Amino acid sequence: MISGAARIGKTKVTAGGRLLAEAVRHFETAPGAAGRQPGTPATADAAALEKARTVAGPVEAKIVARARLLPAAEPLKREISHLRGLLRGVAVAGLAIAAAAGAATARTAFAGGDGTTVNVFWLLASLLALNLLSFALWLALMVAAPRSTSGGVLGSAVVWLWRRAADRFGAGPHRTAAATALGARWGGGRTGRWVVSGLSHALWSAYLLGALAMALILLSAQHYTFVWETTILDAAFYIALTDGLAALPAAIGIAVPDRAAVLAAQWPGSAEAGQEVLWSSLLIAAILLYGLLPRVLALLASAGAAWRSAATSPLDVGQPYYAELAAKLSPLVGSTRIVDDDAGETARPAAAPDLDDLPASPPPGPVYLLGWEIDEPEAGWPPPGTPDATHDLGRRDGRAELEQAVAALTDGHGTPARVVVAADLRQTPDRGVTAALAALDVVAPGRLVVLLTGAGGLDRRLEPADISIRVADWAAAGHAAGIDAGNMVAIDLDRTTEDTRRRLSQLLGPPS
Amino acid sequence: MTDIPAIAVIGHTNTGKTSLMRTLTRQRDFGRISARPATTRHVEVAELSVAGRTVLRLYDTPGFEDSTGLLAHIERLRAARGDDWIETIQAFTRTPALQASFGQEAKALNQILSSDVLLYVVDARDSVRAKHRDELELIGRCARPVLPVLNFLATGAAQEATWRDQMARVNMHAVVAFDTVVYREGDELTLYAKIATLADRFAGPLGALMTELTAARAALKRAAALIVAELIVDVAAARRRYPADDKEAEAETATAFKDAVRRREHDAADALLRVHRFAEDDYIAGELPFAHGAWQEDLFDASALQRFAVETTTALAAGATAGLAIDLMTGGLTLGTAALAGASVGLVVDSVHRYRGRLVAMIRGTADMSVAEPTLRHLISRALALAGALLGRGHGAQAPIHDEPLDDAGRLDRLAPLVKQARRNPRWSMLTDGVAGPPASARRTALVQKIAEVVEGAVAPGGIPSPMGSGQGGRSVLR
Repeated sequence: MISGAARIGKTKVTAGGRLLAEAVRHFETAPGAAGRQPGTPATADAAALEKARTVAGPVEAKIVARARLLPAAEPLKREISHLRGLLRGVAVAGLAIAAAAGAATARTAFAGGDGTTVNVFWLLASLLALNLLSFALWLALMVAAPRSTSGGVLGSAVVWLWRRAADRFGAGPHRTAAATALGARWGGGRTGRWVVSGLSHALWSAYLLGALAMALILLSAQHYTFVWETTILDAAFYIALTDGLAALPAAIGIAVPDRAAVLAAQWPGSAEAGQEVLWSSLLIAAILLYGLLPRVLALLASAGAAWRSAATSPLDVGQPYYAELAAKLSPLVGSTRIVDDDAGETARPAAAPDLDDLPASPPPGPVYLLGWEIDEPEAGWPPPGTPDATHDLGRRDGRAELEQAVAALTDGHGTPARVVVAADLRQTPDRGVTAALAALDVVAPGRLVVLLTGAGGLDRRLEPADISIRVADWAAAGHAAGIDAGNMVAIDLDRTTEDTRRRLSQLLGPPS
Repeated sequence: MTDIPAIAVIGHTNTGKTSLMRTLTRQRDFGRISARPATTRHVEVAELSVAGRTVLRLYDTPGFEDSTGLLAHIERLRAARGDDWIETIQAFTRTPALQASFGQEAKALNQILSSDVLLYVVDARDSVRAKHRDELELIGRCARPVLPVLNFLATGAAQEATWRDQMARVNMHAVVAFDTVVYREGDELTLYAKIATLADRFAGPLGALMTELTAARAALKRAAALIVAELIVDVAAARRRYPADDKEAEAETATAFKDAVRRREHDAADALLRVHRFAEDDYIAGELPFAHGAWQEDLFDASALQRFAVETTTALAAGATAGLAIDLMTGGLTLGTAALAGASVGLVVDSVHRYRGRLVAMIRGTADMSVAEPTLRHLISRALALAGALLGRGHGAQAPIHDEPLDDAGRLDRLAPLVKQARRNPRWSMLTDGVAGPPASARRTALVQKIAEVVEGAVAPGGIPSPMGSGQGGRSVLR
């Protein structure tokens, strides 16, 4: 039943709510037209999503809330209750057939022998033995495999039944979705196991009721002589058997045959008046206590377990459909917003200069080489190919070392003819680099050359499209520091070859 | 003070702060990312929520650029004002006139001062430089708990030890490794756990967030596995019928069939991307190559006959049981006959149901085609590779995934017996002609679950568990 307990705004999720959510899932994931009927406005879906998002509680509650708010909810609910009605009809018919079968069995059993003489133990066995056997089997299965499921037999049956019915009466996407959901939630898994159990107990109860009713009718309307017969067994066996069977009825105050009655029943005609009544009451008590009572108890237990299971087994939120929905209904990020805006825009990158062209050889005078914020090149420092005349200022980093370098450039050897600053192309040129270059450029204006190393490792850190942008950004940093684009070159100091040595000595050395 | 922690993501420019935000928020379009400096120039907040309640605020900030110059600038300000550090920094962030060219850094410092915990993002491929030491000194002066985050550790060039040593020197002993491009579930949980130890008054919301993330991750893994499993069953079971001895019709059917299979694969890839909250341009896939030839089951081949024997016994038993029930119900009137009849009916019904399609096809002169084994194998390994790649992909990743199939025969062989089961049931696939509705068989559902379990194990680290019922022998259909 679709109960109203899982109303919007409450976190309680009912079995009915989950069933509807499952029906919606099958409806929306059905092939063709994305499962939606043409004409269903997308805005209705968006509105449902928006409203469901505000429902407090776990994501399952939101999923159910959304399902209830969709335009498809009403037709799906109708189809579910329609289908439930149909299943109820089928169940009632099954119960009627079972009761008739019970009655027929009882009639056949009483009709054994010559019509009025009935073998009492044979009668009991044919009425109860099969029932007890199947009950024992059920119990054994429950105990032996407590986690077994129904295997989906019932669910498949419901879907099959509905498809066949739908073929006849006209199917719609709502019907198919409702049948699939109903079959899976009530007919499969843990719930299905209890539903199947309950159904079997109900059928057997009906069977036993039918048998009991027939027995009462026959015992009321006809006179039977109860006997027992044996070829090889001793009378003591039947006395013990009767005592055993009669123990429970006797305990609750039902009159049962005593030893004399058992002995008398061995020989038809020797029974005293009233003993047949004792046999009759034993018969009825046995059907009630050994047949009907365990079945009814098991039926109640199974029905309870089925309801409980249906009410507690959650939606499988691992289903891709739900996972996607969950991300929309209960997003990890509630909102994002800019709290401290900046009007400035990142400058568009300039065109990347050609870093292969070397500037003209330096004029006569001292030439300096300095590494700024670089690791030691694989080929060592100073890099191979550095002319002996070059003043090596080492690899430097930080304010103090920059100040030392500036001091070294200004004292001693006269105005620098060229200052080559080796920097790492793999690093992002920031304003700190610009400031350092500018500080060096002050000492040797126009004579600063930036040597960019590390081009060989760029592809490990940057996408191909970003490499030229990085080069342009370095050019922009140089430009901001007052360095001409022609004074930017790329020489990979990590992988020195004949060519890099030549280029380096040309950059640093006087013309040979 | 609110009980929602404010966490600022700070660091030098272009170290992956916005990438970290993207990965932590699962939003691949958060902010703007580039290889250039100063891409993020504003402070942007993302509120993380659990069940609709905000538990955490993450602030993306502009990166430090001229840290050395900034430190010198603030030192000068401090000397001029005679304040202590934090007051000087407060004055600096609040007074634009004092900011000189450090407007970007001022925004970051302002956010640092109003945050509870700082995540200091480092590109671990870089060496520790003076600029880093300078900004760490400045950050240290702000008196906030700092958790250094070593980014890009998954690349071989990372200098993890150097960075850990440097952090220890400035009294930051809790360091977390978190690659924004290569996603590892454990790393993310460690990140939040360490934040919780640095600021234990937020243990509540952080714990709730970690629980939520763990649950969401489990659901995500299962959803991805189910998507792949559904794809496998649909494609393996697919069958198309064509008139035998009609080459033209065969070619037409084959073309339509291939299109349908490709579409199905594409849909599955889309679904995978969607549940992971990635977009279509995160995956570049070539067209599924089709091996020549089609797979056909001989009605009387050895495995079919062997299977027939197994199914015959079950059908016989089912029929007999049904008959027995009738016997029981009628109290022995029909004793024996119904059970016997049931057994034979069961057998006949089962065989007809099982082989009806092919028998009819033989009589009518039609033939069936299905996806050839090498193709199916290729498709499965592509799907497994994509599912695995997406699970290990951070939302900060920029480079798209390419369709490189897993070349792991062992994994595919574990799936083989299950795939075989799908093969035998053409009606389980919507790609089979004549299948109108979604297949609602309980056995199909069970098979999808089993395949999903293997897939989930296959794409998670730690290898794949053997599927249930792996004891059954038989050659691999995938080979």
